[in-house]
Parts: sequence; C-alpha cells; structure tokens
Amino acid sequence: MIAAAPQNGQGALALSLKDVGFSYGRRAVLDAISLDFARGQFVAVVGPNGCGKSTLLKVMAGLLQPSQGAVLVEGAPLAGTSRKKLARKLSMLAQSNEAPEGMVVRDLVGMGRFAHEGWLSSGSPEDLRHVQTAMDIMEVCDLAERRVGELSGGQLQRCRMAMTLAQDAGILLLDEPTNHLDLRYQYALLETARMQAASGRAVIAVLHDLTHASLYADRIILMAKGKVVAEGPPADVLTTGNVAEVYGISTVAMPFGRAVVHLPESALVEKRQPAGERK
Amino acid sequence: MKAGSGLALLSVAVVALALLHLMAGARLASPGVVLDALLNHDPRNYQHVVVVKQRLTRLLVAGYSGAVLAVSGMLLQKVLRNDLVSPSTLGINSGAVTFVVLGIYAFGLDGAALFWPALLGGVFAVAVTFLAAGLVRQGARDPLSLILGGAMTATLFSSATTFVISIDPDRFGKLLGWLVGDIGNFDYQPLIYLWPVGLLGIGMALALCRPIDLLTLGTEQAATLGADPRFVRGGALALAIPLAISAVCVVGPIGFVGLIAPHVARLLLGETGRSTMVFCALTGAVIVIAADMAARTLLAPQLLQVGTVMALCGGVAFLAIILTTLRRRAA
Repeated sequence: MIAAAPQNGQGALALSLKDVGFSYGRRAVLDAISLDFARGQFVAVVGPNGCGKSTLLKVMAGLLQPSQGAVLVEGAPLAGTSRKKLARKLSMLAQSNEAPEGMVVRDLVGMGRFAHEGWLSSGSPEDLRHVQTAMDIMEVCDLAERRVGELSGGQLQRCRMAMTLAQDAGILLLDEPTNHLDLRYQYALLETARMQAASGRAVIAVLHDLTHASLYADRIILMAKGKVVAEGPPADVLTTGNVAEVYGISTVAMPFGRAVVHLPESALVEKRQPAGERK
Repeated sequence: MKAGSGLALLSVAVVALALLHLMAGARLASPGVVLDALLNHDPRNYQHVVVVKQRLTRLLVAGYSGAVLAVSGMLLQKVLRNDLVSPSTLGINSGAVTFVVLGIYAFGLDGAALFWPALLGGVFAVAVTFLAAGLVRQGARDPLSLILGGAMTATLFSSATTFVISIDPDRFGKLLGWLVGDIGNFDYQPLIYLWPVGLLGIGMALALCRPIDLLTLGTEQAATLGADPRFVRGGALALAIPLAISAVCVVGPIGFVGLIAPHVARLLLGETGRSTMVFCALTGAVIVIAADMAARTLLAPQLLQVGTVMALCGGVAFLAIILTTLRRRAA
C-alpha cells in the first residue's frame, strides 16, 4: 500500500489525556494515564477483562468524568464542551447494540448526522451524501430499507458502524467493534478502521484479539489494572514477556508479516494420553 | 406507509369522523344541517345550537384530550424505552385525580385552577412509581417492573381518592362522571384556559423529537451522537406530564389512549421522526372522538362514559401489547 500523503492535518494532535484517573467509589479503575493520539493513526487498546480499557474509552468520549487530570480534544478541554459540539469532533461506536426493532436502517444511519443538523432541519443534501457514503463503506446499502428487527447481530453492527462513520468526526472511538461480526466482516471492519485513519482521522479501538490488533493497528496500548503497561508499535508491545505479565499465561509469539500471533504454550504441548485409557 | 400519504389519509379520516361526531346524537343531524350550523349559525335554530354548543364543544374536548394523551404516551415510551408505559400505566392519571380531589376538598378550587394540584399529583405519582419499580426490579431492563410500580401507585392513589371522597360525599356528587373519565357539556370551559398547554407541549415535543429519537439507541450512543441524555430525558418528562395533566383536568383519567396511539403510529408510519409524532397525536384524537361517539350512541338514549368505553377496549389492547412485548423479549 502506498503510504497516505499527509493531508487533513495528518499527524496533528487530536486527543490527549493528561494524568487521567478515574474511580468508582474507592476503587481506582484508571490510574494516572497520560496518552496522546494523533490524526492518521489507528491505535488499538488491549488488555485483560476489567483492566479499564472500556472505561478509558468512555472517559475519552466524555461519558465519564475523570476524577483527576484532563482530556483535551483538539487542544481544548473536553469538560464543559456541549455534547453536540463534541459530536462534530468525536464519534464513538458504543458497545450496546440497542435500537428499536421498527427503525429503518437508513434512518438509523441518518442518526449519525444529528450533530450537523439544526433544530428543525434534517436531511440536507450533504447529510444524505454522508449517509450514502457511510452505507457504501460498510456494504449495507442493500439493507437500507430493512427494519432493525429483521437484521442479524452482525448486520446491525455494520449498520451502527455506518452511523458512526456518517458522523464524519475527526476522532473515531470504537468499543469492541468486531463484536457480533463473522470472520469476513471482522477483517472488513478493521480494514475500514485502518482506512479511516489513513484518510486523516484518529482511530482508537478497544480490541480483544491481539492478532487483529497487531495486524491492523499502527500502535498498541497494552493495559492492566488501570495502568498502561506498554505502548508502541505492535512488535515492541506484544512480546511474550508483556503478554505473560498482563494476561498471566505463557505463550509462544510467532511474527507473521506485521502481525504477531500469540499461541498458548499449554495447547502446543502434544496431547498426552489420558491415564488408564487403552489404545 | 409513506409519511405524507399516511398523514393525508389520517387527516381525511379525522375530518370525516368529526363530521360524523357532529351528526350523531339523540337526534341525527344531516351533514347539511351540520355545515349550516358551523357556517351560517342561527342561534334561534335549536338544532344549530345543539350542534355547536353541545357536539362541537365535545368534539374539541375529545380531540384535544386524545391528541395530548397520545403525544404524552409517545414521549414516555421513547425516553423510558418501554413499550408499556403511558400516562395511565405510570399512575400519572391516578395521582392527578387524588390531588384534584384534595384540592377541591381542602382549598375549594375548581375549573382550570385544578391544573396545579393535578400537575403536582402527576409528578408525585411518577416519583412513587419509579421508587416502587426500583424495589421490584429484576434485572436492569425489565419492562414489567415499571408497569407493576405504576399499578401499585395507581391503586394507592385510588384508595386515597376514595378516602377523601368518603369524608364528604355530597361535595363530590357532580364529580362522579369525571372520576371515570367523561366528556360533559361544560368541559370546554377549563379547556379555554388549558389549550395553550397542549399547543406548547406538542410544539416543543416536535422540536425535541430528533434528540428523543436518538435516545432510543441507548444513553451512551445518544450522547456521543450529540444529544445530552439528561437534558433530553428531563425535557421529555417535563413535557409529557403537563400534557397528560391538561387532559385529565378536562375529561378525567381516560386511560389507554396514551398507550395505544403511539403503537398504532409506530406500526403504520415508522419508529422515528416528527411525522410519526403528528400521526400519533391525530390517532389519539380519532380514538377519543370515536369512543365519545360510541359512548353516546351504543346504549342510546342511555349515555355511557368515554372512560368506560376506553377502559373496555383499551384493556384488551393493553393485554395484546403486553403479550407481544413479552413474546418479542422471549424470542
């Protein structure tokens, strides 16, 4: 692939966390996290369950107020920005796939345009253009007139991703975006995320699959217990040492092109014959 | 159904039904007489007087109540993301009635002034319902817990109402019809003061329609799409309660309109958009106007109360909606 030419402020700082902490009651979920995210980069956040990666994404989206530190969106503090103003700069694919069963897909994707609409106007030619483009990218045009209740989980997830793309924001947050998708669309979605980054957006995704993360992301943030354990290019972060420390399992790492595949040692040992069983 | 043609069809139905409503009664008036009464009103013509003073006022009261209850129900169903809620099933109507009765008993209020105690009662009842629902809730998204809370609240307030009335029954004699929901010949009088509530409420509901639609995608998704969930949910509740109360003050606690009309509108016109909201308002008007006609003609010359007719038909529809909701959740 030809490297994308610098455009749309490629490389410019989109989002930064300054010493951000968050706690539910007395339990600290995020602990003094400082990170910068640039336009043009696809960043994957990985880590074991409960390490705080989803919370981190919610803090970045302004859905949770950090108990210390600050989040800056394009240099301006997130706190105090109206939701509508923020939604023009930052979009997020949330994890819940709630949507009324009777809602038509085209209307669902059109919801992504809310931040660009006036109080009484909706559906301007520009809105329609963005909706159409987003549906093209996510290959959901043939579902446009279907109702949400008729869709499979994977189809709904792609339509919701189209809605998020229609929002046309510079920062794209994805919370486990490959949920509900089969193999083909998992890769298609990750490819879309990479292309969105290449076109000058800052794309930040919480992912579970280390192989996916290493294959598509430019940079990986590995978290454990509310802290950043390591960050950087996939090959530097996804070492057997880091994986053992964070996930508590021994793996064999196999570099494969740009991907790093971690296979559990326990499964690679040849199967022993269960005791007492005869041939 | 396309939004434009759906609205046009329904508008025609409303006009036709209105004409029928003006014709029907103890003495049938021909369409010609009705038009004459409206356009060349002759105050010395007894039939003209009946059409305008009795039937037209009832028509307006019925249409108004149906429309505001329907919009109130739709707002509640959307922001609470619960297909079973409505002004009656949340206990708003019962709370309003109790406070109205108290207002009459303790302060001697009447007419449009009863709007304020009724509003207070509605808000209070919603709070009690949420509290009760919180206690009986099983799992985070259990649509029945709110309904159960609403039913408990309604029972509680009904017995309070009965208690207050039993202290001084003579005083509430003329209130009996209103207590089950009835459209009387003088109900237009409080409406003269209360119609701005409905107009303003429906207008603001239409303005807030888009962010309310967003909220159906879940609080977090709505927020990142650009709607402030707390503002939208609070705003919708702040519209839904006065809308319902303004109807209760005029016709009493008519149930089920606010539950059924939103379902009809969403089924026929789609889940989202302002046209669905307008369609819902018109559907509510149609339902109550039709119920009023039925109440006046079914057992003529005996008159039924609109509330009774609505309770009979609405109860069946409520059951049907509960069953489909549960079946959908089980699937």
